[in-house]
Amino acid sequence: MLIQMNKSIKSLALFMVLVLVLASCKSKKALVDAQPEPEPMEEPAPTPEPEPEPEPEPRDVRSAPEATLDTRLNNYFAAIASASSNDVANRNIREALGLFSNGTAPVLIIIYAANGTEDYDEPTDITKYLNYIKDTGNNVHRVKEVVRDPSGKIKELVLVKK
Amino acid sequence: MNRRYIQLLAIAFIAVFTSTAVMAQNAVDPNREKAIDSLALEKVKDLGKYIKIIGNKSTPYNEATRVMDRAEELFAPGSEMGVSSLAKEEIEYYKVREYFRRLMALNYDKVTIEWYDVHYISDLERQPDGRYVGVVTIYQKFEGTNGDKLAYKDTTKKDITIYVEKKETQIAGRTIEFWDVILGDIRVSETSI
Repeated sequence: MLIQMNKSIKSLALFMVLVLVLASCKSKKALVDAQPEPEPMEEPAPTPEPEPEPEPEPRDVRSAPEATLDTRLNNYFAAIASASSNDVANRNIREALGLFSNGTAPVLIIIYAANGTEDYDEPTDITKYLNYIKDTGNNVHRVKEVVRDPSGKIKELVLVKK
Repeated sequence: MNRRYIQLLAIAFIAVFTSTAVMAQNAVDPNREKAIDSLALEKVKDLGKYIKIIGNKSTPYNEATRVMDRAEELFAPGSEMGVSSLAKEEIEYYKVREYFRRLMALNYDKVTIEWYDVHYISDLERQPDGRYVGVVTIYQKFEGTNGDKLAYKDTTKKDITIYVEKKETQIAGRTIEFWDVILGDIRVSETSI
């Protein structure tokens, strides 16, 4: 009876070890999969005739905002929120809109971020967002990221709660 | 017999281990829930500020209309707002847009509306369909003045049902998931001087 029990315990231990080994193999495989594949060796090719380089196409630029742009936008938000009158707020809104490619540039607001995922408020546009600041006096977001069009105007804005 | 028992034990162990891992993955981050709570409460406070602007006699018509649009966007379609008065028992309910129009047209020289003590009376609870539902209470202080004379004044306690659900939209070709806060009916629960 005891011998049989010992055998069973041994087989359970063996099973657990097998599970652990399998799990560790899987992690290693994931690690291996994540590594970039080695670049294929290139055959030496005959030197081609030099061709004129094509003009690079204008592309959108996604970046953390430049210090000045960041500061300018945050200053506009503060000025609109604390404007002494509707006219002052509207003047600041008009000026701020000048930094954007158009008044419907999307604005994303991150309300929470953890473990590489971000939770957003309902997306809005820059005109509505600036008016929201005017109406509520809420200056609770700061600039996190801007996407600019080829002319340097902001075409998308990402904000995060201060 | 013992071998069978140990095998069953091993299977049970694996089942418990697996289900614990799955539960840990599905568990809602309490800080995320806190952020959603705070987002929803902020929307209610925003509504209070919009109502103040709409009721203010010095707000230009086009501004009031723009603000009405923003305020209406906060509500689920068909939502109603309760209106009470110290002069009568019954509470009347209007569709939110109609309520805003009537508020703007009130027959006073000056109208002051203030919302305060905005808080949850029923926390946001996750429903089986993934939506969150809760109830927020607010107190509204209303004053209508004609000339220098205070013509009417009351304080109303109102309960607002809030729905929060995850939705997605396309922004510049990307899919963005967001939390949509939607306000439902606003019911009057108390009216006092």
